[in-house]
Amino acid sequence: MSIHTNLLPAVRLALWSTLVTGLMYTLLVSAVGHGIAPWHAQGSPIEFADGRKGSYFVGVDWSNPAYFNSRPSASGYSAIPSYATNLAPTSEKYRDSVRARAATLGLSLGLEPRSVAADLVTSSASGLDPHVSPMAARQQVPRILKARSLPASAAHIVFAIIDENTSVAPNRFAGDSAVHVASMNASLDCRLP
Amino acid sequence: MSDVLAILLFLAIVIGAAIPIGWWLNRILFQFPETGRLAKLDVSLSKLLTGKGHGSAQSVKAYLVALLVCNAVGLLLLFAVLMCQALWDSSLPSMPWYGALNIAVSFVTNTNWQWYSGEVTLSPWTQALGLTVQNFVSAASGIAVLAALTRTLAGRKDAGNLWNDMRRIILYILLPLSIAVAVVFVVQGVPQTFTAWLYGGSSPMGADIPVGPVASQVAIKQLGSNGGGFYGVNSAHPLENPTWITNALQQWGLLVIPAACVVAYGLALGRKKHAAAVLAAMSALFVTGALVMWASETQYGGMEGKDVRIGTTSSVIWAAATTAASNGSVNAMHSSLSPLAGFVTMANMITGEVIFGGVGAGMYGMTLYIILAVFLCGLMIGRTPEYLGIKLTAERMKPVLIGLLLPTLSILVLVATALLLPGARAVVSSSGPHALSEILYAVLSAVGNNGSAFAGLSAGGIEWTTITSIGMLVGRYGVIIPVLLFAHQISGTSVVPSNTVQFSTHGPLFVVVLIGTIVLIGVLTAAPMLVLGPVADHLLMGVGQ
Repeated sequence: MSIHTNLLPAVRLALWSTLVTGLMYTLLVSAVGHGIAPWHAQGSPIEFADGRKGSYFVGVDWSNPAYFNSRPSASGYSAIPSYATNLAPTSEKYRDSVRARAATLGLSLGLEPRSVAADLVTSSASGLDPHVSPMAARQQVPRILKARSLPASAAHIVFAIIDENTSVAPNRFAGDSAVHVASMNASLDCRLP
Repeated sequence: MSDVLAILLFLAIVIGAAIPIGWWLNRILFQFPETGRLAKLDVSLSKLLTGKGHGSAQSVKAYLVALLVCNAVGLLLLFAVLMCQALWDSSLPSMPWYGALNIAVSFVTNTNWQWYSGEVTLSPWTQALGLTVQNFVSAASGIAVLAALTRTLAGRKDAGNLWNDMRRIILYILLPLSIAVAVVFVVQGVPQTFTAWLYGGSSPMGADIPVGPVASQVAIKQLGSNGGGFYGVNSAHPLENPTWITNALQQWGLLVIPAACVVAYGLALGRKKHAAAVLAAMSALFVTGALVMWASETQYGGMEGKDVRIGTTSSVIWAAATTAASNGSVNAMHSSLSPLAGFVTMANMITGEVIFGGVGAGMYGMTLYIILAVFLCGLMIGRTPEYLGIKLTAERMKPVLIGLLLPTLSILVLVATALLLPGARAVVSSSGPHALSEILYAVLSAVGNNGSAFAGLSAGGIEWTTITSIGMLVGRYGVIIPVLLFAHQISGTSVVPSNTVQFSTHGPLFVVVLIGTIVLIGVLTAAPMLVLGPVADHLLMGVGQ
């Protein structure tokens, strides 16, 4: 009933919970994880098409016109730490930045600023988004062909690369269609050098 | 239209899974077998962990004192671990005491408000041995309080035994579920390692990626309505939530145990129809909120603060679920939501986190609203109100009203305090109504033990760590203590269904009255602040300001 009599059981609970849910649980998940998916458990390290090292799941900045470009990022794709702009959609700063990006991309992609894909003119939640939307990928095809001095007839190869790297969730409550930028760029170098 | 179906499908999957989990919860908490393999296992585990067999029955007061001591010890231990972090990782910056205390309060109260970014502030060992442990213990504490309340509502004189409850909830419910979920996460790409950096801190481009025991922490933070991410951007981070499978599973984890608690409550009291009515009220409030958010986001929102693989629909469902369930993990940045979507996240938190709510905490908070609803209706038909055969006398209504009003009162006082303190005002990142929204959100999140944020606000200073620490403590124990005082007052009351016609606690009328009570008490108390914050923001957006 008193505080005194509960002190010992409370300390015991603190100790065994640290041991069981802190140490043993973490070690068990690590052991099983490393046993069945060692590469994933490490953090999925890969080398990108241009020789940079990173993680398969973590986006990096692609701004070379010959590659699929990634989304704007508040942290400039630094993972230390991850952060977003947290800008309110009603703020002046947000509207200015969207307008500026749409104007620049409109020029480089040969589109009306209004019709540039929404994910290309806004910065992501993680600052490390590894994907772009299928629409954003398709809009970049003419620019990529031009930068690689390829004829328009090669476009179907680039579109095929987009389709191959698109992941589709079975229902939108789980997620949305997304194209993995780094994988597309690896395929580009492989098939359209 | 397909998005509306997506919301309903998601809810159906949650409730579908909540039924078997709720059945298991009921068995563990209220019908624990006396003989058989599980009983033997439990005794030997108890002896192994505590050196003793089962604890004996405690009175409600003894149960409450034991819980408070248990949480206080956990708080001190976590505070000590955080302050001593330099002993095992000297590369991290030292933490001010008020920052460490804020983290300790945050994780012990099941809030997981984070003023810091885990990947640059805490070592993997601190996250595993300090934070993950409290994710389990604080979640179990919430379920334990609900168990004690339910036992007295069923007519028992004792509240059970806290140490038995904590052990059983952690070992037979939270741990097995977390292990299963965490393994799926690893296979899908969530890191689970004890090195702190993917390339040993020496990436050629100077841009290494922090890793650690992420999967194990993320599993329990979703299931235990904790919400504290391994990374600063929480489940928006592509390593914390890499694929649609992890996203769907984490989103499911937000609501499943809170919903299972309602099922267990109904089973334990033999009132399945009542539990179904409560779930219906929760579902109606959740779906309404999610639909308003979805309508606002599709019309006014954009992809700012959202990741492509997650998309708008899941960002909306998650934001609605995480604020309804007092979880606080995010997969999109709430500060960048359109104003009316932000309004819904705040309205969800203002209800005191009872739309599913936290594990255990949602249902015991909801019980206060149910009692108030029944009380009001009883008075309207001129009879002494009863709930489950228990007479609701003036004496018994006192703790109920304190439990409902104290958190709301603390919200008003803390928001006013924050607005008056120059140091607290200075750290908002925007201006106009959105600045008020940032402040309001921070206080609501703390008092609601939610933990999500309009993260433009830099909450690491002494003003905000103090404000949120007070908010979190009042929001947690300002409800737990009144709930258990009510349980103490009714403990041992013989439950006699009276002959007189009573207000039914199931059926559509009850659902409507319950929703009305929640909206009236919960949301209207904070209406002026909501009008000046998100609603004004929305109206200004309409005129292009």
